[in-house]
Amino acid sequence: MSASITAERRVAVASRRVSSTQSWLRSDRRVGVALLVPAFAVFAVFVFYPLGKVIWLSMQGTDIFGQAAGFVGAKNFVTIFTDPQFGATMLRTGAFCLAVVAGRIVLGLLITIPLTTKLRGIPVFRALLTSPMVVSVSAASVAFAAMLAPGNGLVNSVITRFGGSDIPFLTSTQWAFASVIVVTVWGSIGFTVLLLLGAFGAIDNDVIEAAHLDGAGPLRTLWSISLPLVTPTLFFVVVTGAVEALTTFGQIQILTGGGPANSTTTLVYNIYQSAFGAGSANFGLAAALGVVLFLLVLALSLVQFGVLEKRVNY
Amino acid sequence: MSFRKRSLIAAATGGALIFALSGCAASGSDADSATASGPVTLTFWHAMTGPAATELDSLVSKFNAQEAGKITVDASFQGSYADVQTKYTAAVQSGTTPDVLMMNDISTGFMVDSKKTTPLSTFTEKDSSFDADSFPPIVSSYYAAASGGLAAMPFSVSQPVLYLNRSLVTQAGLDPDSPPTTVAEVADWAEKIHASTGAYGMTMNMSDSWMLEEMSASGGENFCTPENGRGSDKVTGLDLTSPTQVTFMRQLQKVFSDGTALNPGTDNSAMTSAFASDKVGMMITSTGAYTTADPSKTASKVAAFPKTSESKDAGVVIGGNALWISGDGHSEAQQKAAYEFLTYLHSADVQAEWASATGYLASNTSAADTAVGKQSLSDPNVAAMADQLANTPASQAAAGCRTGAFPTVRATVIGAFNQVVEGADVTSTMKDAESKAADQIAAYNTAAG
Repeated sequence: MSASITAERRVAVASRRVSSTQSWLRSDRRVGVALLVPAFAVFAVFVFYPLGKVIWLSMQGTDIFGQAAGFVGAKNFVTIFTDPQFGATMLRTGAFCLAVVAGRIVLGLLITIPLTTKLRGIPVFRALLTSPMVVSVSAASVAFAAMLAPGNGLVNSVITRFGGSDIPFLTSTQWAFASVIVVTVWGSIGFTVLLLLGAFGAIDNDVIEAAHLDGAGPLRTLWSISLPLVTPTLFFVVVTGAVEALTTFGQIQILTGGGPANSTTTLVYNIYQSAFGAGSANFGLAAALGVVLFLLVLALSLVQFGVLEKRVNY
Repeated sequence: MSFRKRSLIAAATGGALIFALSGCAASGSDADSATASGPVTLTFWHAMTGPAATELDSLVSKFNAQEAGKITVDASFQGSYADVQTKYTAAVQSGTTPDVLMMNDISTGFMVDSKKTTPLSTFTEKDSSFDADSFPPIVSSYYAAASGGLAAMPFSVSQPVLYLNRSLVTQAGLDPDSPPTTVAEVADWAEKIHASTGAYGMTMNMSDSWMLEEMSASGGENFCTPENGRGSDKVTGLDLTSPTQVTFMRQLQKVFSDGTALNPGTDNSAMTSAFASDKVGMMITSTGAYTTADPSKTASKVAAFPKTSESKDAGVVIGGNALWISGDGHSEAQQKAAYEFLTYLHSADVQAEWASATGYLASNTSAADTAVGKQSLSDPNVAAMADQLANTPASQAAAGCRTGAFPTVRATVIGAFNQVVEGADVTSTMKDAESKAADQIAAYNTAAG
């Protein structure tokens, strides 16, 4: 008897709960969907549709106006992978990516660590050293191009004033690649320092004091306490920095135009050249290169999250 | 606020956003709105900047005032020539091509292949006042249509010349008034200037293969095969390894690799500013650079572009731009109005004014007889440029290469030549470039159908 009453009551309670959940769901779902519409529409227009179109276009031939001109299967991919330059371009892209990320991390730490000390006037230096952040890539590149120019460039004028001879920073295959890397690191160092300043600032002072009490010197504290505690930020810099470096375009376009002799042509610049390079309009090939880049970024992100993230202390 | 109301607002916001975003793409030409009876509005895309843009705008206003009530030209700057070509291909796709398009020299092949324009000869055949001999011979042969006559109206004409910095050349014990006439002599002078003044001996454009094309032509050599694309067959390859070409490339290789010559890379303005500030003894570049290279007009001596052989076909290929009349999708009235505009721009007075304001060479030989023309030609440097243009033979080599793949292969050739100036073997490096360019041309020819 009592058992059946409890059972009845339980059913009643349960059904009431279900109906309230359903009505809650019904009305809220509508709002939810409505709220999603704008974001989804934007994504659909600017991400999903272009992505689908790129994949479709990568299997199309193109006429001289860049219009799709019929299915060609994997022909564009065959063109890419049989191009003797392609391997070199991929290696260069990888080297560029590594150098820029390493430059950002090493230089970023070297700049940030002194800035974390509590000296008079430090805020001024903090502001100064994060300031490259506010300079646009194109403005910075134009300025660097003028400074590094042979003949009248500022840097070469200084070098020749002191008896040296012009260095072909942007016009020799030995120097151009390094020059583009330096300009890229310069442009991204401000943001890196800002992120690292935040990370170092967030370290609990008690932890540092405890380390001091245990007899750790400043270097030991930095290596064993501070650095491990900022690894989430370093990881963030590595992941976003790698993708940013992979998709670098402005500096290359303005400083060297991918030259001399392709020595600064990366994958993204190659895509641009295929699609919009003077008179090219080969959108099929460019789309196929875009698919290659997409897979590369995807693989890189997976590797980073799989391998690197294990070494991050959250 | 009820859920319904809220969801409505959310959806409306989303909808408005999409509407606003899609609105960005919905700008088009209003040229089609012109009717046959009323006044005609012409859209005109150009690529001029700086003083040239100001001058062009003033020429357009004068034309509009002259044709008030009949034709209105709406000129708009579209970016560099490469940008113009990119925007033009997009306009072809969306059916919104301008009525009149300015396109640079090397995109002539592309414009012909596009088949979206009406050849100028279609209009000139019916126009008894048109004088086919008003162009310097090399200009008409550059823009010749396959069917005879002109494919487009030549507007801005330029040629490369040799600029000498009088003070550096004199310091080196050389006489600027008896300038070098061959590339070998230029290289020799460059070494002397560099050795005695410490400044660079010479410089030239290195952002694309333009100078190599010109030096091939100035040796009477075709740059493209077969027949520079000027015969009945399409271009299928480049010729970069003839004995004449290998010889001048070796001469250039020496002066670049030993530090005598300044390699400006992609930065042409760095080259002109280095010349203007006495950092370089000699510069080979466009006549159009004159005003920036030598604002005083007396610090430099302008000499003819150096030859690379004594061939009778040797000449200097013209550069600059021409004006194209859109055919497809443009009414007869619009096309006729466009032709009116082009003949105005070709008139002797306009050409004289255009040349004097920009540094281009007049594409109408009668411009020299106008007051403005006479004034310009009183400068011996400008006279030297005009002489070179007038004396260029209308040979196949000097007409220059015509292929729609030209802009693409230029990058390939300069890439190879950049390796050459760093010491790579001339013949094998340029052979590689020939084979890569042949692939690119084949791909273009397939796309062009």
